[in-house]
Order: sequence, then C-alpha cells, then structure tokens
Amino acid sequence: MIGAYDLKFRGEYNRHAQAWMDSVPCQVIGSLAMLSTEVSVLLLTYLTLEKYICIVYPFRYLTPGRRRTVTILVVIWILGFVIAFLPLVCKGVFRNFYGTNGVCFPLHSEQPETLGAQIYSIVIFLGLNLVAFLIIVLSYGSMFYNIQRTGTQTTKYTNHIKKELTIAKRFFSIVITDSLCWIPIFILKILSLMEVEIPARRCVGALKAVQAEHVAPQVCSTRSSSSTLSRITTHYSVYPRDKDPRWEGVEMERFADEADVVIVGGGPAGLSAAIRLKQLANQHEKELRVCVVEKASQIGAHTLSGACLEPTALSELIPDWKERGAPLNTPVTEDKFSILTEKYRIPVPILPGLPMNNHGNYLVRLGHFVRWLGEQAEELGVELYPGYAASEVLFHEDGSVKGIATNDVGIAKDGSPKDVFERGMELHAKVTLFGEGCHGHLAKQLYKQFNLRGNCEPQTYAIGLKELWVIDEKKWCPGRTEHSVGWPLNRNTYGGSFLYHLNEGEPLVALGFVVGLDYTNPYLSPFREFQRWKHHPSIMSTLEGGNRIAYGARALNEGGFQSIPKLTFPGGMLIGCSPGFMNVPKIKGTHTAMKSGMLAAESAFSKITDENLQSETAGLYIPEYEEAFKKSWIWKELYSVRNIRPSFHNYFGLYGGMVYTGIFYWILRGKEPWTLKHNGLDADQLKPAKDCTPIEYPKPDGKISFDLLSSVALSGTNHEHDQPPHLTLKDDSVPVAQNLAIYDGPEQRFCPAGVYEYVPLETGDGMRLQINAQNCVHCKTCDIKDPSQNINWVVPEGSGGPAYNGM
Amino acid sequence: MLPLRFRRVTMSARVLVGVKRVIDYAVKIRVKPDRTGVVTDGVKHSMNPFCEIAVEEAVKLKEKKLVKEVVAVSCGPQQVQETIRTALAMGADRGIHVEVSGKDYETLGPLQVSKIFAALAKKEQADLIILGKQAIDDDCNQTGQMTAALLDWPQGTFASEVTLEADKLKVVREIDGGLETIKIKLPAVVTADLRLNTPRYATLPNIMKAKKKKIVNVKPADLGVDVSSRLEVLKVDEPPQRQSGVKVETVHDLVEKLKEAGRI
Repeated sequence: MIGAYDLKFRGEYNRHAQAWMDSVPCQVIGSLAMLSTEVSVLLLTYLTLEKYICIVYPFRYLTPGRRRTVTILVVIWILGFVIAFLPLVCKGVFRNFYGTNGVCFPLHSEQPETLGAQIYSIVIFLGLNLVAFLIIVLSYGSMFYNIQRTGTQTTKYTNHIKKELTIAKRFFSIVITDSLCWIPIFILKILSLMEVEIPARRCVGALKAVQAEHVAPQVCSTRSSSSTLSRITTHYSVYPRDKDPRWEGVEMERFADEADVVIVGGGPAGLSAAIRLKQLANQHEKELRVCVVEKASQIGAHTLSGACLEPTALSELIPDWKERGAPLNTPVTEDKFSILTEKYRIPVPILPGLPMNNHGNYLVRLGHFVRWLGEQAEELGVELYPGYAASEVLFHEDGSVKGIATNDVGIAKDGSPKDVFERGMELHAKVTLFGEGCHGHLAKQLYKQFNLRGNCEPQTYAIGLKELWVIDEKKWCPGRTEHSVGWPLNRNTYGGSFLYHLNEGEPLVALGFVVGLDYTNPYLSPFREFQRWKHHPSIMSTLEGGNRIAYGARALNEGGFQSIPKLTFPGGMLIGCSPGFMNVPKIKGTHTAMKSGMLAAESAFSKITDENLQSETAGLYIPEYEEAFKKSWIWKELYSVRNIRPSFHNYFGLYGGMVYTGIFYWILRGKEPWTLKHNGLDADQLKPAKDCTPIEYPKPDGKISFDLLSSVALSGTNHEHDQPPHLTLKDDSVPVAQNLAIYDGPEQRFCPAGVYEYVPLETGDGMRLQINAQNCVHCKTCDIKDPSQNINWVVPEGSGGPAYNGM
Repeated sequence: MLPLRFRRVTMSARVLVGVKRVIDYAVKIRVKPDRTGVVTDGVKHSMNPFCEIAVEEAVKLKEKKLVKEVVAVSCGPQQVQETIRTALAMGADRGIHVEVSGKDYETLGPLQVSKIFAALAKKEQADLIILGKQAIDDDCNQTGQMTAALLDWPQGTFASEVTLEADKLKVVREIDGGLETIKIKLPAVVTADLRLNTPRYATLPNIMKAKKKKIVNVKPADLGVDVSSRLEVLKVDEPPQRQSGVKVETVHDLVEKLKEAGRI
C-alpha cells in the first residue's frame, strides 16, 4: 500500500506531506505496519524462547502443548492489535500518532508528538522491542554456546537436537535481519532522546542500507524516501561532498601559496594591521609578505557604520593622514542628544567628559575611509585580494592554525558542481589574523576549536540600519551630529538613532537606527522601527524634500569589556569587531578596531622576523598581543564604560540606564568596583509570540519611509543566483516547527533585507520557509538572533553581497 | 617576420579582445544632480558581461591551440587596469591600457574606441578582434561594426558559436527569429552574444599570476587617434517613476475610472 502511495506522490512529497499525514489511509497503514511489526517481534521472541528451552533444557520436556501454544499465539495477536490500534482509539492522548511519529511518513513533522504519544512510542520502541530483541539475542547466544558444548560430549540426542538446530538456524537468519533493522532504530531513538543532533543524511543512509536486508521492509522504506524531497539547505557545510555521488571524480585539490601573514577581512582592523606590519618591515628592512582577503568585490564595499570617527588610532598609524588625503572631511561642530517622545524632543545636555561628547571627532563615510586605507596598504606593498572570501580555517597537524582557504566557486543551487566549478585556494601563513567584523563565521568556529569564550560572557549584539539622503540645501548643517533615544522603542528596548550632516560636496546626511538584539518581542521589526522613527517631527523636517540614495544594515557588538574572548591561539589572533571592541556609549568601534590591528601587528612582527625563533607549534602563538592589549588604552576605555550597557537591564530600562550613567560614569569615571552582567545570549531573549502583543507599524508613505524591497535595492546587493543558499539551516524542519510555531517567524522581521519569508505550502495547508539568499546584506543578524540557533551564516561566492558606496 | 599567410596556417594568430569597465549590473544607477551624467565615484564597477564572454571565447581558442596570443585591451583611466587584470586572470596573455582620462573619457564613444582598436589591430598585427556585442552602460552596440568598417574587415556580429577553420571563421549569429551561419575570412571582427559561452571565474591563483603579466600603457596620440567627440550630452534623466495603480471592485468602477482619466 505504501508502495502505491509512494508511486503516486513520487517527486512531490512536500506538496502532499501534511495532507497525507492527516489522512485515514496513513492512519490505517501506520497501524497495520505497527501491528505486523509488533506481532512479528513478539512471535519471534516466543519462538526463540521455545527453541531455547528445547535446546538448552532438552530433558525437561517443557515443550508446551497445543493448547498452550494456541493461547499464547492468541494473546500475542491481541496484544499486537491493542498496541497498534490504541493510538487510533484514544485520539485525545495521541492526536495524530501515526502522522507525526514517522511510521507512515518519513519526515519530521511540523506538529510535534504529544507527550503521551512520545511516552507510548518510547515504551513500544525502546521498552518492548528492545527487551524482545535482547531476549532473542541472549537466547541464541546461549543456544549456540550449549550446542557447541553438548555437541562434542554426547551423541545420544543428536538427531533430536539436529532437527531443532536446523530450525534454529533458520530462525537465526530471520533474527539477524530483524536485528539489523532494529539496531539503527534503537540507536537513533536513544540519540534523539538524548537530544543528540543527527545529520539527516547519515540517518537516511543508515536506514537505506538496512532496507535492503529487512524482512518487513515497510517501516524502513517509508523512512528512506525522504532523500527525494527538495531541501532548503544544500550547502556542503551541511551535506558533505565526499559522500555525494554528484561530486565523484571532481578534482578537489587546492592550489596553495605561502605568506608571512594572512589577514582575513579588509576592514579598519585588518588594513591597520597590514599597514603596521609593512611599516615595521620597511623600517627594519625586512621582506614580509602580507596578504589580505576580503569577501567584498572592492575594499570598503561591505563596510557600514555611522560613522563618527575618533581619529586617535589613525593619528598613531598614519600621522600625516591629512596630507595623504584621508577622507575625513567633516569635523563635528555641533552635538545634540535628546530623548524622543512620540511628538516631542527633550534635549539632554552633553557634559564634557560624557562618552557621547564628540568634540574632535570626524563624520565620515566609513566605506570611503576604508578604501583609502586600502590604497595606503597597497602603496606599502600589501597584497589585497578583494572578491575572495575566506571560507575555511586550515590547521596544522599539531592543531595550530595553518592559514585559510578561499571559497569554491561554480556550485549550483542544488549543491552540485557546475561546468565552471573552481576550487578555492589555500593561503598558508606563519600567523593568520582574523578581522572578519562582528560575528565572523570563521571566528565562530575558532571560539569552539580553542575554547576562546570560556572565561568571558556571551557576546551581545545590536543591529544598525542606515540610509544616506541628499537633502534640501537649506536644511543642511555640515558637522551637526544628532543622537536620540526613546521613541519609537519602549523603555525596555535598547536602541537609538543617529543623524549626521556630512560635508561631502553635496547636501548629504547619514542617518540610522540601532536596536539592541536582546529585545524580547518577536513582533518587533528593526527595519520598520527605523522607518517609523523618520516620521518624528524633528527628523521629518530635515528629510522632507530630500532624496534617499543608499540603504544598508549591519550587526554590531555591544558586549564590550565583559565579552572580550581570548584573543590569541596557536597560529592566529582575533582583531577588530570579530572579538568586539566597540565602545557602546560612544557608539564607536573603528578606533579600537584599528588599534587592535596595530597591536597585533606589532606583537607579531618581531616573532615573524626572528630567524632563530623556536616555536612550540607550527603556527606561531603570540600571547604578547593579549598582554599589549591589556596595557593599551582600548582596555582602559572599555573597562571604564563596562557597566553602562548592562545598566539598562532594569525595570526602568532606558531611564534607569541613563541615571546610572549620570551617577557612576560621569562622577566615578567607571571606577566603581563592581562589574554588571549581561543577560546572556541574544537568541534566548525572545518571548513566545503568544505572550506578546503584535506591533502595528504604519504603512510606508514612499517619501520619508519605504518598504523593505525598494530599500534593499538601494544597497546594490547581489549574489550569483545559481549557488547554494549561504544561509544554511542545521535542520530544515526547525523553522516551521519552532520559529514559526512558537515565535511567529521572527526572522521575517529581524532580517533587514527580506531574506526570510514564510510562504504557504502549495497544498494550501501549512507554511514553508523560503530563503531569498540573493538579498542578504551580510549583516549576520539571523545567525545571532535565531531563537533556535539553527541558522549558520557562511560565506557565499566571493564578491557577492552588498555594493555599498561609502556607507 | 614571416609572411602573413604563413603565420595563419601555423596557427600563430593573435587575438585582440576589448574589455570595458562598466558600473556593475546590480548597482542602482544615480543621476548626477547637474544631470550631465551618472554618479560613478565609489560605485562598484566590473567587466562588461559581454566582454567577459569575448575573453572566454578568445581563451578557449588559445586552449585549443588555434591562436597563439590573446591581448586584452581597455580604454580609460587608471582603474581600467583592474579590468585588464581580470582578463589576464581569465587567461589573456598580456594587456594594453589605452589611457584616456578626464573630459576625454567622459565623452569617449564607440567611434573613438573603434579608431583605437583599428590602430591597435594594425600595430599588433592582429588576425582577429573579439568584442562584446554591446556594453551594459551605454548599450550602443556599435564598436564592433565600426571597427570592422574602419579596418575594412569582415564582421561576425552577435555570435553564439564560433569555429576557426584554417583562415576561415564559421560564425553562428543570433538574428531576429533564428540563427544565421556565415563563413568569413580572417582577419575579422567578431562580437559576442550572451549564449556564446559561460565565462570562467578569475580564480585567486590566476589573479596572483596575472599580477606578473605585462600591461603596456599607450596614449591615443601614440596611435595617431584623435579621441575628441562630435556628440554633446544635453542632459541625463532618470526614467520616470511608475505611478502606482488603483484596484477597482467592478467593471462599472473600471469604466468610471477610465472615463475619469479621459481614456475612453
């Protein structure tokens, strides 16, 4: 029967899955399957026991009479029927037992099993079947042992025993096939009870192997057919290529090259490190090969920040930056800070000494500044490779970092190789610097590999959204800096806005909105809060008559001092926003990122160029960086503001935090002897949707506020469309079963680029997740905020992503 | 120097490929406030997709040992060297950067570029010029045709298949309503259409190797070409924004609305 339905639905399981699982034939087939399995298991156990008694105790004549046998058989059949049809009768407890536990359908269902059903299936699968299985195995073991022993000693009862033996052998083959089928199921069940993650592919593979030998194939065959279903995630990081027949015979050898230092990420930190290394090399007249790989198509095209730049680190790195034409065109001339209510603006005085004071800083388009840094680096002889993303960390045999490999190209959406497939390249180095920016995907692996976050708090984050506007020249005041907190966020949601008047040849303003990712209401949409904020009277007056020319978004670190991980490990170092040196109340991290890159370069230089150095590991371990970091002004700066961000975790929220900052920061300068804690992982902060009120956002008017897709278009984002989605899911079924069921699909709202969409199934009942990976602006918010932590952001084909022009 | 005829028979032909640096196709174009052109500063640029196809085809001919050398040519300011570098990473042997900057670059059109190509073809003794059928920025679709005219060479435009047979070139052309197969004699000009091939990636090892390949810098004046333009740009405007529609409930409403709008 299942075979027939299988033929009917072949190739389009998804469309029918839900309907099928709820249907009567599914229930009937499920119960029949259960009946036949359980009866056969019980019969086998009974027969085995009988043989066992017959062989092991041949003289006792305990062989049951005809009547007893019939009774036992009847009891077994009745028991089988009860077990199989009980779930159908007691719908209240079991609901859709066969539809959800996978007997008649191979997939993990969207409706989880009820507790009763779970206990029931555990009792049956693990209790009854395991016990029966153990009895069978033990009996046969004991039988063969006995036969071996007695066979040599006596011949008197040989004939009798021989007859039993042939029967026993026959049964043994049945039992072997049976156990081959059941062992994987037992193991999987136990593993799933222990909540071990089972890669679906392996599970299916194991069951497929069993299927060929199985005496009662219906159970296994239904489970194995899931491999024909269309997947959301096809990326090789989830489905390894070495077992994929489509990849057989594809050349996977990589070209490798050697450098002294490889830097991942051409941002402020990475480029500062590269520049400092080459400066030192030139100063000491040493040869030093420094390579920078960057996933953006050109340096600065993925950079997004406010940005109000504090030039401290820059002046240390390139003292003559003015003469070299650094694009720092707008010194801050006016500093405004206010609390917004829906209609009003309450100005807050910025006292000298408060971290929000911006005197001496510059308003910049950070992407342009980074591009300029890139030019300086190239001039010094740094090799820059934009358009090539580091996708893998390579390790020496001793476990130290050997370098990185860049991404492969030419893989089709379904995960198969295209004709133009090209393998990435290996870049080996004495030491590798990871400056991937906030929540880098390689850093994420390194944290685990070297347990770098063992002694710090989890990183906390925020998402920043930004637009560039050309406004009416009359309203333009170059050098004016405005910040606000309050409306439209409630007092317990951390966040605020910025509005900078830039002096870049045309009446340009950069404005943006930052929302702490520890927010609790899954209905909150950072994008729409931003759009709504622009309608505040004090903001709208500036924008009216203007033209929006750019849009983008990026996650940023807010953990500060408490969340700094270990920065060094054999073969590598973490720099910049990857470990996270953002000064939250200042809302600045560029100067600390640059300084960290410089410190890493300085610490590494003497070791790299020391020809007599005896290193314990193949990749250099440079703990000096961490020591230098703790003596630097970054450490002091981050220490003094460490309590400001966590002080907002109080009943009064924003207001409590501001009072705390006023008292402790302004008066004590962060010298208070205690350190406040963060709330833990941002992903754990969401409340179930049923406990929250949906937020009604006003419709965009197309003049001041805009819809999501027209915004994303302004970011210039593009990816080669025929490639596996780089937003990978560890388990394709989790989004609908958890994120949608419990949190009402928050990824649809926190993603600032419309990547995640729940769309109705073609059958009309139920939903499925659609990932529009081409839209991704590489902000990493989904990887951070996904409540089930099921999304893993990996790099797409190099040069994909946004094409920001000075964001 | 061997006689021209003999060079071709020994498959030692030289191919010139034009590569144009254009604003990336995924970028949303913004018109300059003074309406004299579009904003290019800081905007993501890449090689014109049709030029990529042209480079791929030339490199394929070289891999089949049908030609000896592939030379990538680009006209423009310093940044076009990045585009030439990409062509070199795809397999071109050397590059020629024809330096045109400032005002001349802003007004550089198909006629000026084809004059440059014609001059270079003579100077380099090229046997084949492969160009993209058009650039995605100005969409002119003229350079290939003009170059063939200036050189008085046969042309195979909109090529979707190119086969080199001794000194003859079989070109399958994409024309309205179908395909046309022609046979032309070398030297010739070919322009690449979309379906000619799938360009390969410029991989990182090849980019590194390309850094060692030579790019020669020449000025139009060195080639005896005058790049002054005879065209004047009056103004550049954004396309009109699409007006949002209205939903109507009934046919009656529709008729009413159409009458209101004066359409019926």
